[in-house]
Amino acid sequence: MSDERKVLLEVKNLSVEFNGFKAFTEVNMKIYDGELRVIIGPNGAGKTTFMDLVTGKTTPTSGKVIFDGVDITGKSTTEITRDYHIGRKFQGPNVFDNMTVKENIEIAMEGYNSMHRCVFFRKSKEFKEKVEEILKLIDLYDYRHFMASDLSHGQRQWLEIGMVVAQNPKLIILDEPTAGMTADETYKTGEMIKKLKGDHTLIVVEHDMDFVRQVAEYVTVLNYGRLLAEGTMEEIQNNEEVIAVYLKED
Amino acid sequence: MKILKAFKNLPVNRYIDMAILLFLLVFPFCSSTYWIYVMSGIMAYIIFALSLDLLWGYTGLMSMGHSLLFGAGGYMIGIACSYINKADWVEYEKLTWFLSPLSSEVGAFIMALLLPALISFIIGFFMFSGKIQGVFFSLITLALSGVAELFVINQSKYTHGNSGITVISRTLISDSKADRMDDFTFYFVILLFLVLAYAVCMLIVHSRVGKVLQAVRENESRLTFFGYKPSAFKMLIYTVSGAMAGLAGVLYVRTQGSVNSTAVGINLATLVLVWVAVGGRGNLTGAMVGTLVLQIAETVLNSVFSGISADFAQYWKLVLGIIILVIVFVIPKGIVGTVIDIQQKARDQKRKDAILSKEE
Repeated sequence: MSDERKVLLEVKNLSVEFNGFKAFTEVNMKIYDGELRVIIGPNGAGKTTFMDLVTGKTTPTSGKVIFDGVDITGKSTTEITRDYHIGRKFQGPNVFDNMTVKENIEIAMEGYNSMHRCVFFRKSKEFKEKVEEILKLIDLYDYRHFMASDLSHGQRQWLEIGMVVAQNPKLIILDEPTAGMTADETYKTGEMIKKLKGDHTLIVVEHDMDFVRQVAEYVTVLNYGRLLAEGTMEEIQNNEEVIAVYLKED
Repeated sequence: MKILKAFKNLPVNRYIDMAILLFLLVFPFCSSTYWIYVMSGIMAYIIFALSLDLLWGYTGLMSMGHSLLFGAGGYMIGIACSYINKADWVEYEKLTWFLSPLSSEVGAFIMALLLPALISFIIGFFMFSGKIQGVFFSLITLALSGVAELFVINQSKYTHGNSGITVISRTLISDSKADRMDDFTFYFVILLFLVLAYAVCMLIVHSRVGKVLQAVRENESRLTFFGYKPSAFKMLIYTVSGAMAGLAGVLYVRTQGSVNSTAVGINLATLVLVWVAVGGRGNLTGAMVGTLVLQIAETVLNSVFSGISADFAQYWKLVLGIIILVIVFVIPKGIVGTVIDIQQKARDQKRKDAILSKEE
């Protein structure tokens, strides 16, 4: 059944070496349009490296990254974001601290990032409505005039999710969106992410297994820079190899 | 009613802006010619400080050699004036090709704005596309300002070396003595330019470009993941800031009636950093308050202490140094920055209470 769906992101034999250290070795992976893929793996498994490779922060030693049918291997971060619509949320909340929540979202809004668009920018009604909609989605509407630095840790995570959504990307990559959150906040984040599915394709990297169970449909497991297993949540939980390296503490 | 409400919701520093403007407007009607002259110079310095605030306060680019651009503007006027009026030390017949616009008065004024903009554009181009950031940017600009000071002294054919150039004062464009305004009129000319410069700053700061610049200051690498090219924005603001510093240089030179190598030197570059730091960065008001307070203080103290000790000017630097240390330790955000913080905290508390009561 999976072959009928449109492939949005495909990595072919992707490898990268840092001074002889093989951080990522011959990985093949396909992400389908509209799916929510969870990537798990122990520390140093290459999860962050994978995201760096896709978003152009790191250039692969060999292999290809194909997004929406176009080879984007080795393109710059700016290009990948602007022309290919890949949005990324970083591990720690990575927001603009001394600016208000609303300003943060406004900066991130899709389609206003070139110089002349910025110079001739006028706040249209649609623009304002879109910003409001996102503020409500991430549950920070009441906090819109606060400085980002005055928010709680969880709220800052949401703010960054909101900023990534504002980019209106085809592919959203979330790096540990629930890191440092309380159980309540984690659950709320899970519901937020489920709402995004369908409009966007999502790749979520997580450690929190409760959260993974809440949102995951299809899971990829990485270990030592290699692909260890792929399958539905159920298959993964019963996979002996995965249990041996990763799930044993559960 | 709506206007009244918007007025009430302004950040506190905008009231200070209005107060300063009002003060500057009334000032010449109740002071001596000497003080009108002093204040004219201070207003030119305020424009200079505003141009640095755009760069340092809003974009986070701490230029330690901003006087390079100030002086470049000033020297254009100086060279033009000495050439047109045939000063007795001028030995050259014709200006070299790139200085040839200086043979006309209007050309000199335009050059005084364009050359600093061009210099900052070129410096910016190499630094920002070379990904030079943070303290390295500061150090390179500092070094450039030092180099410029030596360059100006060495190129004595055009700059009259250490002695500097005498300029027709209290005119805007003209280089003839007949067109000199009185102190009172010239004060208002500078005030007009100050208001214009302030308006331009406000326009930039509140535009989307201004917000992007703030985002550059806060987290430049994050911005690239939203598809921006930070280097282009940094180059733009550096160029605008350069032209504005050049304008400040022109106005200052026209008030003083002379220009010399201190106008491009490290001394002035440091002074302007201090004004902005003491007043508070990133809100425009701070730059104005800092410049006003410290420059007025220097003038007053100078006249008080000159009777006691002849070389007070040197002691003033010591006093200034102590002031900076105290400010940096006690209120790192500067005078205005701290006041804004207090207001922001109070407003946040109100909003938090409102949210809590809504949830209950």
